[in-house]
This record gives sequence, C-alpha cells and structure tokens, in this order.
Amino acid sequence: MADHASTTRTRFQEALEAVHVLPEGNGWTVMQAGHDPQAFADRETALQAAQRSAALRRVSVLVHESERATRTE
Amino acid sequence: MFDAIVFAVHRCGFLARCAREDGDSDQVRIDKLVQMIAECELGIHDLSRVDTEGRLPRFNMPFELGLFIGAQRYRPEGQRPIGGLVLEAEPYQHQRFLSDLAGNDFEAHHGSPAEAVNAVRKFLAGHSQAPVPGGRQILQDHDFFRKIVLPVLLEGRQQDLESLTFREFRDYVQQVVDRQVAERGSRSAPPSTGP
Repeated sequence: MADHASTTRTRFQEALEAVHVLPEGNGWTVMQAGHDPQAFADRETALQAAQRSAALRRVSVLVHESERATRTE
Repeated sequence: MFDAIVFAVHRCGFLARCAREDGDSDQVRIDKLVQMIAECELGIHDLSRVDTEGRLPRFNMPFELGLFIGAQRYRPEGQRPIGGLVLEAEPYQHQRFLSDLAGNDFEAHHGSPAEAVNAVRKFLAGHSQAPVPGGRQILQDHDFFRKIVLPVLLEGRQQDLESLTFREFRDYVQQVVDRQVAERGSRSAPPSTGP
C-alpha cells in the first residue's frame, strides 16, 4: 500500500514537471506546467520540440497516446 | 464549467465550498446551505442553467441565491457575506426569469468556461489581499490540470472522474494549486467562497 502511494506521488510529481506531448484535434500539442501550449501538425515535430524543452530543464518527456503515458529518452 | 470555476477559485487563493461537499451527511440540505453561507464571505451563483427544455425547472440555484441575499441583508454586521457574483448565460437573461433582481450586477458567460473563469477572477481580484493570476494563466493551468495531472491522480488511485465526489475533486485541485503557488510565489491562507 505504501509503495502504491509512493508511486502515485512520484507520478504526480513527474506529471507536474515533465513536458507532455498529446494528440488534440488533427494535430499534436506540447504542454508543460506554467507554459503556453504549443500546437504542431505532426507527432515527430511535436516530439522534437518537447525534447528540446525537456533537455533545457532536465525533465522527462511523456507522450500520451493511449490510456497511459510513455516516457521517451 | 463548474470545475473550471472551482479551479479558478482556488487558483485565486480562495477555498471553494459547495452544497454537494457533504453528499453523504445526514444533515438536512437546507441546514447545510444555511451553515455554509454563514461560514463564507463570498458567494458565486451560476444561474445559467435555467433552460428546462420541456422538463420541470430546477429551482435550487435561484433558491440558494435567495438564501445568500437574505444572509447579506439580515445577518448581523460582521457575520454577513460581503460580496456575491451572479453568473448567467446571456446578458440580461435574469430580467426575464428573476426580475426582482433587475438592477443588480450579473456577469454573462455565454456558456464559455473561459468567460466564466474571467468573471470569477475579476470578482475575486476585488476581494483578495494578494494579487491574483490573470485569466489566461488560470485557464492554462486548468487545462494542464484537466488533461495531464488529474488523469494521473485518478489512475494512481484507481478512481474515475464520474464517481469523484466534490471533496475529492477539490482536494486534487488544491494539491495542484499548492504546487503551482509554491513554484511561482507565496500566498496567504484562503478565505471561503460558496455555495
């Protein structure tokens, strides 16, 4: 139980800090807390923009393509 | 609309109260409402859902507004709410279904959460001791909360949005807002708004 709570806390923390890539409408959006969302026509361009932003802040990129988010390196 | 308003209330440094917050309590609903109004300095009433589409009208929201105005008028000074915001869908709509309140300040949100958030933000800015974030920032933070953080919290606790209670939802909003405030600046303890 404690491990589960700890995992939830860690994922909550990561969700707040990470750069997120998610499909919206016909394109893809890059979101991060406190920043304007950026819209892109295709997944690859969105992913590249997210990775540049994440590298600057040394945080993860999470791609939301299904029910679960996938972390990219 | 409702959750955007709750988020805006917390993002502006206030605590949202709602008649639904003690859903499983045995207390009679009107007693809960009266107690909540007595405990709140400010009230936000959204009367936009008056279109009945042929069904029986729901009078809860106008009734709660009536209780709130009664508290403002009849409670002893120092114990009465100090301000209220009334939202409606279209400008001057209330003049057709609640003409007794003609001449009071209403804000129309046209069914848009963004307009409702801006109206709430403007109202609370007038009652806050500390600066409140701009409407654009609140909407951006709410969008991030709904699309990113809330799904993570729900999944981690094996919950779903449909069965979330108002208290659970409000606790999640507060967790996120606390983090946002900690990262971007301090804020004093929140006064309450309801119902």
